[in-house]
Amino acid sequence: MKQIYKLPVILAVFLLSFLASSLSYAKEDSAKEYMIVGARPDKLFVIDIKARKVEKTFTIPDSTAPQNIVISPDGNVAYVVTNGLKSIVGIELEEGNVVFRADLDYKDDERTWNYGIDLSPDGSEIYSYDIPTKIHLDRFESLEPRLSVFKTNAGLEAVVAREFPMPRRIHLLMTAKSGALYAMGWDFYKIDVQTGAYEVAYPLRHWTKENLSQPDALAFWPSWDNNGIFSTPIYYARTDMAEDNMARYRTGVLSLDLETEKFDMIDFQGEPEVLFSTVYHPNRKIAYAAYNTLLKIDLKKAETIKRIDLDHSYYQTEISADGTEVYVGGTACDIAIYDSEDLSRIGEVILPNCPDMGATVVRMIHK
Amino acid sequence: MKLKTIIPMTFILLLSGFLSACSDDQEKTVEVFNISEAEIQAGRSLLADNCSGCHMEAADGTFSRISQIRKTPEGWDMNIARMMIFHGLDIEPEDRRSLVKFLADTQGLAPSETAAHRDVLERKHNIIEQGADPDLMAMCARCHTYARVALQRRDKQEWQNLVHMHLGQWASIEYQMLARERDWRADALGPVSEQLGQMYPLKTPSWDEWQATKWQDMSGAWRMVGHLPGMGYMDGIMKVTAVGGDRYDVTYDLIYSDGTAATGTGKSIVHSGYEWRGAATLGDQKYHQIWAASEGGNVMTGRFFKRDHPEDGMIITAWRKTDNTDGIIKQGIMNIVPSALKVGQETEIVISGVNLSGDVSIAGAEVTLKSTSPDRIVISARAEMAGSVVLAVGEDNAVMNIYTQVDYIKVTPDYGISRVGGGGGPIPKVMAQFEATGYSNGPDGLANTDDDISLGMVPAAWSVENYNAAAAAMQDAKYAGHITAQGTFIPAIAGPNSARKYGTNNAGDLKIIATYRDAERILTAEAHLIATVQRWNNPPIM
Ligand code: HEC
Ligand code: HEC
Repeated sequence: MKQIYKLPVILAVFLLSFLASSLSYAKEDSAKEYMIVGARPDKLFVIDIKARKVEKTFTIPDSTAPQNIVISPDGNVAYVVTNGLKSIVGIELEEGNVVFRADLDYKDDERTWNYGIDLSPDGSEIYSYDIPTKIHLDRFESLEPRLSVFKTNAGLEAVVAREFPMPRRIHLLMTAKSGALYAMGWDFYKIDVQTGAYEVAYPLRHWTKENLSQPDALAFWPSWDNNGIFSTPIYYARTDMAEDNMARYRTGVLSLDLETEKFDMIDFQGEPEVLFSTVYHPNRKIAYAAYNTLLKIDLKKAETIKRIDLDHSYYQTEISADGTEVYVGGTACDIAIYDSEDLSRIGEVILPNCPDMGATVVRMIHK
Repeated sequence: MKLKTIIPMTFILLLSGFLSACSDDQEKTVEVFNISEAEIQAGRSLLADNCSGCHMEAADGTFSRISQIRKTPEGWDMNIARMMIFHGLDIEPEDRRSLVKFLADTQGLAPSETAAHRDVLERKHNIIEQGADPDLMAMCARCHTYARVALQRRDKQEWQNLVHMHLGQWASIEYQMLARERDWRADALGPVSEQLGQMYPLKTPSWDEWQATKWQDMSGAWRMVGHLPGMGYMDGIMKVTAVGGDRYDVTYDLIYSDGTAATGTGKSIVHSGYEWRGAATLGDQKYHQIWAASEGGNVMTGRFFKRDHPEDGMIITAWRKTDNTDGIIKQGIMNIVPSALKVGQETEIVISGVNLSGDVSIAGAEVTLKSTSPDRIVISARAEMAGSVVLAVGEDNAVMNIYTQVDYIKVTPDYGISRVGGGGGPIPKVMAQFEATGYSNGPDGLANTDDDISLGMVPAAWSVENYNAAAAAMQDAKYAGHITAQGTFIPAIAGPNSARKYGTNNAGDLKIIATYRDAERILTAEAHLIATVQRWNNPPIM
């Protein structure tokens, strides 16, 4: 797999951090749309995004840099990965009270990191992909990863309800409408949350696409809140093209429809361009991608139809439920807002006191 | 330069004979006569006092995890720093220094075991490590140098323990580039630990032999010569006085090729019998030294650099002037500045060395003696015909190149790295130093062939350009920094720059251009400079 080293994106994408998912995309028309986002060191913001206004600010316990955020299906509780990836806390979104806490190092002498979370569709269970290390007196022992299942009503000292061994190197969890858990890692796995049985649902490391190198995709950004479909940029090389032909470096959008559980991959451009995340328009005809640039991609024609420079880099791309506004966030302290038609700048939200969002995630909810 | 020395071949033979004599019976026991029983007892009680809360002491006096590894002094010091930062070890600075000394003396690396990785140990800037197994480089040299790995000795199980430490310390290690397309953990615990255990095992004949070799005292007067890339040469004397425990007080008396002089004092320590570490103050500038003594203890080589700018320093060679216990010292020419002579041009030449005596001549040239001492001879010379000739001082000689013109120049390094810094942040700028060297095409009249002759450093004019179209679009040459008349690239300050596209920082991709005028001809050469961002931690072994 020599070619993969040369994919320029890898040069730029030094691993960031950890983010995941929820199924709150089931939008009710009457409900109001909010954006939920974390920021350093310990802030959780509730933003009335159409009004461009931060409505509430909460404090996340034990946080220096918030990571993944998942919202309960009723939009009432945000589950946030905190404590240096070692704990999950549930913060209710009216008063900011902590209503749930699971410390992931629940076995003796462990240090355990979360590398992905999501909820069951009914919001009763939380799935945590954990990487444990046993700390002996004079040595460490790296253990196999596991999926820990907690009941969301377990309160502040949640104990694990079920646990299952998992493959290594998973970085994003997402629950389909059916309740099946999907995990993106070396391959895309489908996990039975009752038995812990898993299978490769879409091969990545083991894909067998002709004349294409092993792909590279390090997705941390949930992108399905307002469209019901997970998507991410994915990079690979055409092994049938000359090494010095830049067009051999391909960029695609890989997607998983969380209702039909169908995967799709669209190859939309050659030549290297660093992109961190994508989001589908709710109409599923257009997608947007961002990092230093913001791209509008026609999914039918499989091509980039517009590209603008952003004023700095942004990790995550999101979209309003009505599909009119595209949001880019993560990295600094501003959410930049663009018209989804012509990508003209139509607004922004600066977080109070300009705290760094780092690699936390942006979620869209309706309540 | 060819150096004639009076170290007789028989000495080398004697030494190797002596070594092999040791290795014959090393199977039974290795006598560690360089360290006294009292020192061993003191070291063990420091380990017991500071470390045994977590590291079990066995009946034979060994400590779990500690006694199964060998490291350089820097390696041990970084190890103790990790015990403090990650595991809450509380240790007195004096105990820490004593433990580093004890561990480096009893569980160090032999001179031959560090030889291939001294550039990294000496904190030379901008090192591109070559020759290591590419797979090991991908596995183990993407966060730090390969030298950090190759400067340790341990068996497979201890390499595995180290891998477990990495996996338990850095959450992202399996997800980063060069890791995520493989099963990093399985590879690291399996084949990589196996391979490292074979390449770098705990027990080696080199270390056993070095422990059985008598380690030399470094006291006495030393002759030093040095090269400051881009700047010139240094010539000096260092006087070393033992104060006990392999520690020394040192005085320095140096003169640079631009005529400036510097004096100062310092303190040094020798670890593992040959690892000279010094701190010195010359004028108001603080320096560090990381040198290695030769196995016989009469030559030292290494770097002498600014404490706050390790990238800025000279490469030195020191020869002991006074007899050591074995009575064998190097004598003769150490350095000649300049190392080449232009036809028809009267040139002053400084010859530095030890015990220089006798007539001075350059074949085919007219030589006038201007001053002479056993340390330094200054002559004025003029030659009428080009060629490689012999420069003789008494019985000693070296090669002198006489040339008619500089045919082309080259810039070193051809690929440099600088780092933004300052700007109110905690990390100083890291400069990049370039040097232009003149060449003659040699007998075949063709450039870049094996017979080309280096004419030494030439005074070039320096400029900076964008490396390519992408750099031009970002105006890198405008923002990334500037270059001085001495070829020092000074990067711009750290932090985002609102004047730049994307508000990006002052990184850049640049061409460094040297221009040299030889009579009517203008010669140019270029190098590539990556002006990049800070390193947030600068450990002793990168
Ligand atoms: C509070 C407990 C604690 C104390 C005290 C402690 N260590 Fe450790 N040490 C550890 C742990 C845990 C590890 C394994 C993880 C690691 O390597 O950081 C370790 C690992 C080591 C290793 C193996 C490192 C490697 O390269 O693989 C060495 C050597 C070591 N310690 C030396 C020392 C020395 C010397 C001292 C006393 C000056 C000391 N330790 C004090 C906890 C401790
Ligand atoms: C993700 C980055 C990363 C990778 C990959 C990595 N290292 Fe390290 N390594 C580190 C860091 C950071 C330290 C410094 C630890 C400390 O603070 O003491 C370190 C320390 C070390 C040390 C010094 C430890 C001591 O206490 O003396 C050795 C030896 C080492 N690494 C070997 C390896 C080997 C062998 C591999 C490949 C199997 C490897 N490293 C891969 C980041 C890495």
